[in-house]
Amino acid sequence: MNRKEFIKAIGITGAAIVVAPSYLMASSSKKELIRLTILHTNDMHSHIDPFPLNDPKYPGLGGIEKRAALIRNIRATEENVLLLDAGDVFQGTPYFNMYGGELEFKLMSKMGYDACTIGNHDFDNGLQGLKKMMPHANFPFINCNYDFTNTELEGAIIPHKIIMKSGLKIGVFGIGVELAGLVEKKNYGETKYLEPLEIANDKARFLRKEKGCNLVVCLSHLGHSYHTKKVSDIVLAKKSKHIDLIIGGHTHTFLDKPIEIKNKSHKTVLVTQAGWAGINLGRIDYEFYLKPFYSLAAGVSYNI
Amino acid sequence: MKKPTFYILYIIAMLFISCSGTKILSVTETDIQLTDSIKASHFEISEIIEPYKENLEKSMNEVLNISDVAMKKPERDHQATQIQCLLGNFVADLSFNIGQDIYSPKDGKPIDFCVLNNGGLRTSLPKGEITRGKAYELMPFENQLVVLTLSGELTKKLLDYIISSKGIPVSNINISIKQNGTSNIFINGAPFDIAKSYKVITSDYLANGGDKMTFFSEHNNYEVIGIKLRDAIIKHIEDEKSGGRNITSSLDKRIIIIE
Repeated sequence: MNRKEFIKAIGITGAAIVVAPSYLMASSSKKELIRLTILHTNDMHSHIDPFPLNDPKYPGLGGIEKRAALIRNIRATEENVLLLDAGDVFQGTPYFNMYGGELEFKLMSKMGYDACTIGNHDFDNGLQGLKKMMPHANFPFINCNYDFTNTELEGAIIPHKIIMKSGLKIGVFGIGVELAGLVEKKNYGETKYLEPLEIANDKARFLRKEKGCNLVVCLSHLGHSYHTKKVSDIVLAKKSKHIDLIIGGHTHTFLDKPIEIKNKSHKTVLVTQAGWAGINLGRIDYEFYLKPFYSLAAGVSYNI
Repeated sequence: MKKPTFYILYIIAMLFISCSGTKILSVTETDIQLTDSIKASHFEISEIIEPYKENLEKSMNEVLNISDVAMKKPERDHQATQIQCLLGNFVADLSFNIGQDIYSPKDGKPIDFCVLNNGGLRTSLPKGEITRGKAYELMPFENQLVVLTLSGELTKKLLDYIISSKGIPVSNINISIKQNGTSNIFINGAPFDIAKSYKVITSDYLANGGDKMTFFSEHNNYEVIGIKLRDAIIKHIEDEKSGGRNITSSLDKRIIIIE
């Protein structure tokens, strides 16, 4: 049965289409399916150039120019691309020691990053050091569990960002790791670290329920998992309700594919991370089916 | 026919606005490794990088010395798998030796031993040419070498930490860990004595309680000796060169497990 015949059949049977959404989907225009491609990096650590060919662990791997070219190619074939980073852009090569992160942010802006969260090493030149580099970034820095009140960064960090892609509403929020013991006090100053679980769950509920986001993404620098009870992406996933995807960092974890975790409501949360140093580019492709397009198909059938 | 069409379009519009009924049909995931075989170039990106890179390379490409061995960065696993590594021994020994040379103690007592952390060693050193840039990658942080004078009690806590974390960089210390959990400990060639105080050289990051070395922050008092860890690394590499030696490292008996 071709599409026209199908529509005629619908016209005869009236409201019967409601019970056959998957059939309808397969038969009608492609627009009902929206593909969303999420690309992600973490712990870039100022690795602008590929690792040298004599590196014992990662010879020739990584490099921002390669990544940019790859992202450009993906953007050429995919309509809806989100590009996110889970923190620790700073520190790790002399580029950072010499230029303080300026080049990293300029390149991320050129590649079209949509958002970035803050890792512990992004504090390495102090709050002032990060703030000074922000004019080089055309993307927002997002975090909702650091309280920057009365610091240089007050008002410079946003808690979440809602991004629209072909009618899809994607809510992205950021969560950071505890700073004490990891970052020198003088570098984070009066920044307060707030326990992440409750804040993350509140934020995810807000994005899902109040803002109606179709997808809720947590950009996390908590770390993938620990042998101790320390809060991690896995712990957060298990104790969450409205998070669909956690893009992690901090532990430099390489995964063959994202881990599937059941949340409090027994729904699947994907937890992922892309190693470090720009060695991998993480990619997740979602296919969404939007009810409005379902209705649109019904509308067409009515008109015949 | 016009009226129902308008009405239907209106419904569509409303549904479009409140599209919380979305279903995720499928998810595919791929991590793409950026291997050298990706020959992609991106002019607008390379154009931005170029002037930064040129300026940096002048300074960083200078070859400081040759390494006889490859020293791999310890695996970043939270359960240490090895009790010593070449890179850890290399950096701990040079920190101890250079620290000892520079340190001028008011009480006349020299440094007893060195402890560092694996998290602070950020890259591997290859066999062959070692550039200034490599030293920066190995130790990108601006950490200072500092000396703490610890009571026997606090030294015991530090030793327990060293034993339990297995594989953190140490120098001028010998620990034999026995199967029953006890250890024989020698510091500076003499058995550990809890009644004595000890001087340990470490980084200010750890001295401030970093990497869960909280017993250091209990102490909260250290002497800055006036050299950054990275500069100590570069100094050692250059000193060996001017002495006509390559740099090297080996595993020894500083920490062993007795079967």
